[in-house]
Amino acid sequence: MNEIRVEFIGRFRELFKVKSISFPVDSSISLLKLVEELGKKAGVDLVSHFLSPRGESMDEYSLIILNGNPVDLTRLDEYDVKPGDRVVLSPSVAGGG
Amino acid sequence: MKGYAGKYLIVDLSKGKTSVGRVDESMALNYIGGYGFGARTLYDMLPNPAQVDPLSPENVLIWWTGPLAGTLSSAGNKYSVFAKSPLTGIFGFGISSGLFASEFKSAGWDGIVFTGRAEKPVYLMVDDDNVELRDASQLWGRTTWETEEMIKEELGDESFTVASIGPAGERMVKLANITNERNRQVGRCGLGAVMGSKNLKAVAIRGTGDVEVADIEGLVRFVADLNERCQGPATEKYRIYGTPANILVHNKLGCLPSYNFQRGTFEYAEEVSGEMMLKTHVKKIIACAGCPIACDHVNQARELYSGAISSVDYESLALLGPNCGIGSLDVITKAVEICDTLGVDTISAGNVVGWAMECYEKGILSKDEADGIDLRFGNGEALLEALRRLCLKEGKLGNLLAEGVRRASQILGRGSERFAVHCKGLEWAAYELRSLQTSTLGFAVSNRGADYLRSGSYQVDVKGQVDRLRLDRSRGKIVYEGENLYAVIDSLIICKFTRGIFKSADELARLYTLVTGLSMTGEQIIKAGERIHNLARCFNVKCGISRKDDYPPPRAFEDPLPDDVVKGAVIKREEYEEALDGYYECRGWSKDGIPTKRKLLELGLVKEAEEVGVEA
Repeated sequence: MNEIRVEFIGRFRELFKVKSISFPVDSSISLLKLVEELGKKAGVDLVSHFLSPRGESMDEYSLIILNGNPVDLTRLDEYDVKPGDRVVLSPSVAGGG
Repeated sequence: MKGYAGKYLIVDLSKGKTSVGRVDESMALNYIGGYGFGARTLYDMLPNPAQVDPLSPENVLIWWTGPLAGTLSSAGNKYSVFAKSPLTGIFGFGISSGLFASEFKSAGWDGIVFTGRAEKPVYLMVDDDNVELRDASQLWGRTTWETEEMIKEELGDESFTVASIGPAGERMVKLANITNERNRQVGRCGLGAVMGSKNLKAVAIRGTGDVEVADIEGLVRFVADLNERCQGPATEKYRIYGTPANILVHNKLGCLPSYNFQRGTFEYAEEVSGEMMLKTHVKKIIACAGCPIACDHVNQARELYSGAISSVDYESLALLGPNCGIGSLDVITKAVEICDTLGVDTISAGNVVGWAMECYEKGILSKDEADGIDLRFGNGEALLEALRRLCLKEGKLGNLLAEGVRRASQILGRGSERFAVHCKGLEWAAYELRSLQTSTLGFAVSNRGADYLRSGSYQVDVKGQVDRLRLDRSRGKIVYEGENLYAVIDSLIICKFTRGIFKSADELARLYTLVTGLSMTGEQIIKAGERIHNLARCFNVKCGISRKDDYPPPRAFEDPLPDDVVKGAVIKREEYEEALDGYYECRGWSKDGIPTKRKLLELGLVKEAEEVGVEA
């Protein structure tokens, strides 16, 4: 199974028009690379949903969950994603009115 | 000083008399408004709170706006209500929004203090300076929605805004809330029951005056910038899906409470998600007065309970849905409608019914004790009937649930206390206990009980900034800083949905100064937040609160989560103790959770240092 399972929530579901996709890979890639490749697929600058032009975290806006755990968006290039992993792209949590 | 009306109304319900109190500059600078004013007046008016029965005439019911209400400040039209809570027996507090606060201030009042008890049902009409207690006999027994319509008709003017209680408040159900403009509530702590105990059915306000601000040109420029930021990415989540957007992301993180917090995921999450709701049930998205965000998603049921209408936010959705095993938006829409019209808090109601369902499935609550209702998880009809009985205190089940989960579990016994999910008697909101552990610390040390609105400490958990499945000493500082900031936000009072658009506390202080003309720095305003938090804690200490009360329920320590993504997650006691120590250390409190004299004196709380403070 040389695939990464990518699920979309909220605005990302609208962007990709599906709830999830299987992203084929031969070996592990960085999370940043995965986001860049997904962006190319959708024809959008997907990285800008997670990082500001100055490289600051946009975690007030978006989250990435890797195998059930939220990741630090400023370190996207440090996370390795490998076949069989599950990645969720989601708007951030909206609580506390 | 501008922004403030400078006066508040005092209503002695026993004598049917009114008088006027003054808000001075010292009060304004030290306590800001809202939460701060509530803490100050509740502490002063109930000097021996442990001796006061919350449902007796000796309790007080205090309403405050903040300095921003009635001005053009973004999302600042909110009001707050305070009393000793009949649900928790400690500091009771709730905030609501809509148009009510704007009318309140335009009528020329910062607040209202009710004392005593009316002989027969009354409602208070405030029409600028014209204030009158009017007969409410014909309104008694009416729903909140009917009450609002009937009062407007009686007063002959649609522009009156009305805050009222439903039949639940009249019956002094401990979960009773106060509703204004149909869908906005002072939800938590059972303050609607205090209103009911005073025979006070409603408050109707119309204001025609202006609210003066100190620097109108500066304020216009500043608010224009804030409003532009409110259209940016930080608030997009609220504008499109509203808070129900949380359902799917919480489900993916294993922090969506389901089946009375037995699990952190829900197999029907997609069916009750914000995405699904927007597609199939949302009929209207509305905003509170002066709010550039507009988060309120009003649902209409489609097939089951056709015609049912309610405003469904994440907390209501999660507690009345997954927490009760319900995977139908029609049922949830109807359930919220029942709570809103009869007048109970959806969070507490969904929590206590979830508890009853677990008791029923485990054979602890018999079918007879459930009034013959088949109270299984996922049974929508059973949920709706249980809610109706709870609101009306009907039958064995209704009378049991009307007490709230802590007292209900004490009454039922048989080990059911072990899975009553609350802190200090306030039912836990929809953030899972074991998979968001900084959040759990924040809930448990809160002044109001299990409170999702006092520190925002869940944010570091969901953003991956900490290991959310562990605790350590450093989490205390996160909660401490969040609480001080949120005390400012709840005193100004602004909507927490705008918190992401303020760049710093300096901006909050600047907004305060532009409105009031009173000099304030970011450091000073955060210090005011710390003062306010400590004052409310002092009230609680007088009610008997200490370290022993600052713990999450047993489930957090004893029942590992079964869900895949967070399998086995549980809070380790030694880690929790360490985090709690870290929190008290930041606060300058004793190891037993009591504010020290030194800290209280540093905050200018001299009387409190003498009455409550302990030596370091």
